[in-house]
Amino acid sequence: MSNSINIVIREQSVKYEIMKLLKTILWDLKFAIRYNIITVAIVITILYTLIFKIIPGAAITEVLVTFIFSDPTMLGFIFIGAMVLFEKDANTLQALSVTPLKPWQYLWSKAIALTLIALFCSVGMAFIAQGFNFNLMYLITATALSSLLFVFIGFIGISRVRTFNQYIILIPLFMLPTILPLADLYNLARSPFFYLIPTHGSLILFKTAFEDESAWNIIYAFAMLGVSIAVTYRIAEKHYLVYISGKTKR
Amino acid sequence: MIKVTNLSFTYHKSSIPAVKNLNFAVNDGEIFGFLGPSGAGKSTTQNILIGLLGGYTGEISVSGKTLQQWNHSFYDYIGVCFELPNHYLKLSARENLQFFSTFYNVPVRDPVELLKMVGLDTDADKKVEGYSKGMKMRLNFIRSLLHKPQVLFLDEPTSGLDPVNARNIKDIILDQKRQGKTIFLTTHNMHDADELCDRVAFITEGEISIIDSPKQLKLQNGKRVVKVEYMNGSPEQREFEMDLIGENNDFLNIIKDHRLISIHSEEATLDDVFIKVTGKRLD
Repeated sequence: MSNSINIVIREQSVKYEIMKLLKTILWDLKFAIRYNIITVAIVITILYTLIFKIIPGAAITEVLVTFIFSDPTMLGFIFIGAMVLFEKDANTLQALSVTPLKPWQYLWSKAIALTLIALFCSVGMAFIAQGFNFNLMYLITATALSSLLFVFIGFIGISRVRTFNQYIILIPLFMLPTILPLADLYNLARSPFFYLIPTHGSLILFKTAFEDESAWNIIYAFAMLGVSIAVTYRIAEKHYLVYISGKTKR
Repeated sequence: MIKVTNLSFTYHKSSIPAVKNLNFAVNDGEIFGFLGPSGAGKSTTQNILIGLLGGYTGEISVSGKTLQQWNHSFYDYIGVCFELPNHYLKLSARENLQFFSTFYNVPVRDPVELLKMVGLDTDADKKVEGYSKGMKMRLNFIRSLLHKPQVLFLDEPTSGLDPVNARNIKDIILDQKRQGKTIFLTTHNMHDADELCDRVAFITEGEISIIDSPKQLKLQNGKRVVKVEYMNGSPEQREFEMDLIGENNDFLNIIKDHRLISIHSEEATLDDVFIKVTGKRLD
């Protein structure tokens, strides 16, 4: 009897915490509007799509994949930096750290909100470039997983800096290794080493949205991105506790 | 309610403890003032008590549970007002309160009711970036009351406020006490502490030197004399022992025969007591 009551309480509590996460995501989307993050994302997406339309042959798969890949990754990385810096500047993280909001809710709320923006931009870009000639499911999963990964990487990067200028300096440091697999995409270089870089998985999934890909490569891509997200999330959570909320273990 | 035993804490990369062997207890429904100059260890102590700083030695319990035993529901139970404003500047005051309302697992108060309490209701939908420091401070204060916490940690709640708004905030604090709330007040404002606190602790260089009620401290450290200022052609003043003053003919003659300018008992102010006890000023 008491076991079933405990299970009901736990289920209600989980439901309540998920509801809290959903509400926080809506607020993060509101922040993205107020701080013009969505405007910037839309402008960049329009600029990218103009390139497809203006430059002849730009809509070939490799170029399209490069643009769509760079959109959620770069923007996820930069936008999470901007959002956290706004909070650092206004010192609101201090106020958040004395509420029952849990670190996972804070992190996933921002990650999901920015991923929703990335999905809107990526799908829009692919549609304008290719019409309906792409696999929506692969594009959505590729964008979502890449965006989540780069939001968490960005969060790790932003956690120890105070200004956007310091963050800009970090961008090449974090981003350079992640763009190496583009060499494989353009057949410039091939190396088994690329399989150790999570973005190799991203590029495989993005490419799969437009072309056929081997099942092994797709399985590898999902596994690689899943593991990378889990690892970067753990590190981001640790950084949140130590450097962002200032809350060390009690 | 709040019990602190042998609390010590040293910041990373520092060899000097920020707080040393603190022992005190705050009773249910009490306003407990933590008084000291800047850098004395007040904020460090508050940050430890509200769970923001770990790595301390000693034990802290709130409502019978140590901080380690509390989970995130601790923040449903306590409310914190920080010394400096910390709001989402692109949101309005109402939106700031609505946003923070989403985090609590307990019923929350109506933001408009709170805004009304501190006279911000007419600016409820104005973006906080357009607020003055005083308005932001008032918003800070009411945010700590949003979830009807049982224990309040208030850090300089009247800082940056004009006298009218400071009076209003003090009245709200006293009202919270009447409702049975326990309040830990960190301040270097002696007037606020004297007016609000049931007991105060003086802290300097990380150590508590004394804990007592403001009244007791003033009585114990003041002079039991009455100073009389009166006109005797020109203004003159004299001091008389308070004991048996009704039988003191000099005193009685002055108040009978001269026009009085003022009569004051000479008990110490809390400021005087602080200087006497700690040898330091509260700047």
